[in-house]
Amino acid sequence: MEPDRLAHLSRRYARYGRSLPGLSLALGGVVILGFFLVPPLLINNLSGDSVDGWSLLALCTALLVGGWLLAKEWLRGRIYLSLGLAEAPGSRSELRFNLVLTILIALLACAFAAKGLLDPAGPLHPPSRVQMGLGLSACLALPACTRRYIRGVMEGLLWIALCYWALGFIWMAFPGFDMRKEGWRGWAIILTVPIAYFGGLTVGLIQHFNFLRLAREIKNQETPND
Amino acid sequence: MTKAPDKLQAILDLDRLVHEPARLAILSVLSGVEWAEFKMVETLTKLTKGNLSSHLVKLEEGGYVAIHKGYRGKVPLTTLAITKQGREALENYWEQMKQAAPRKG
Repeated sequence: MEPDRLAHLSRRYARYGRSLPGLSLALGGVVILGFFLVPPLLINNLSGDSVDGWSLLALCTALLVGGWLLAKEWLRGRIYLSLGLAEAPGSRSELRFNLVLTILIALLACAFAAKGLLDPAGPLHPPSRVQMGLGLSACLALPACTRRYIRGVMEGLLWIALCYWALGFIWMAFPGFDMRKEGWRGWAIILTVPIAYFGGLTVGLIQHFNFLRLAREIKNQETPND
Repeated sequence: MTKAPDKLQAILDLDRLVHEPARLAILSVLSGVEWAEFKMVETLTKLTKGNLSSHLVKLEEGGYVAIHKGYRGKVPLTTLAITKQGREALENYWEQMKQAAPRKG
């Protein structure tokens, strides 16, 4: 038994419950691809008189983001905290960082929505009061979601990126959106999709395989009396 | 260079509460985290529940470990954390061990 090694193992293990998302990061990459592919399909095929684009997109965003959060929590409990809960050092500062970022993105989302609503030439028809209320509630709920579900800085960045892409792809999904008019702004969002998808998938899988190695090391650990 | 009587003194001065292998393992595991669930310490140290509990009582009495018993939903949850005093004791222990160790070469 090497006590230093034990401290090292416990620190590494605790980081998986916090700052290293592992498979959740890989799943985040897939969700981003989903944001890119699903809204245009919904808008073009399902949107009509009875169901408007706003409601479809709200449903799509809620399913993708909510699904990711639930899957992330399931993976965390089932795989990364299977040996028990642990809190890594520095967790509180990471949470503060994530909260500040989330509040910023919520404010940005509100500004983005306000600009879209006030612009009479914008591609979106004005949403109803109920839809506006739901959108505002979703923005206000973001910090609470961060506090409850988002832990490490990497997860925080992925969370912010998801919110950003959700907004970006919803904007692009509407029929009035014209890529030629938008120029670099549209391309800037599209080009980040493969980077986020492959980046999330690769880093997430590497982290997961490192966790499996760590689990093997813990399993093969000698007892204090060996 | 530390002389032989000093080394002997360093060995004699070792904190017995920390020096015991099982307790040293517990403190080492806890030194890597802010807090940990009982189950995690049990898995990493490979001690039995009873053995771990008895060592934890001693460490708590010495002020080296804080034990918090609560609930997560309806499931009882025992969390353990090394105290500032415990961290200092562990650092002192390693310092004393370095002094007591024979020099190489």
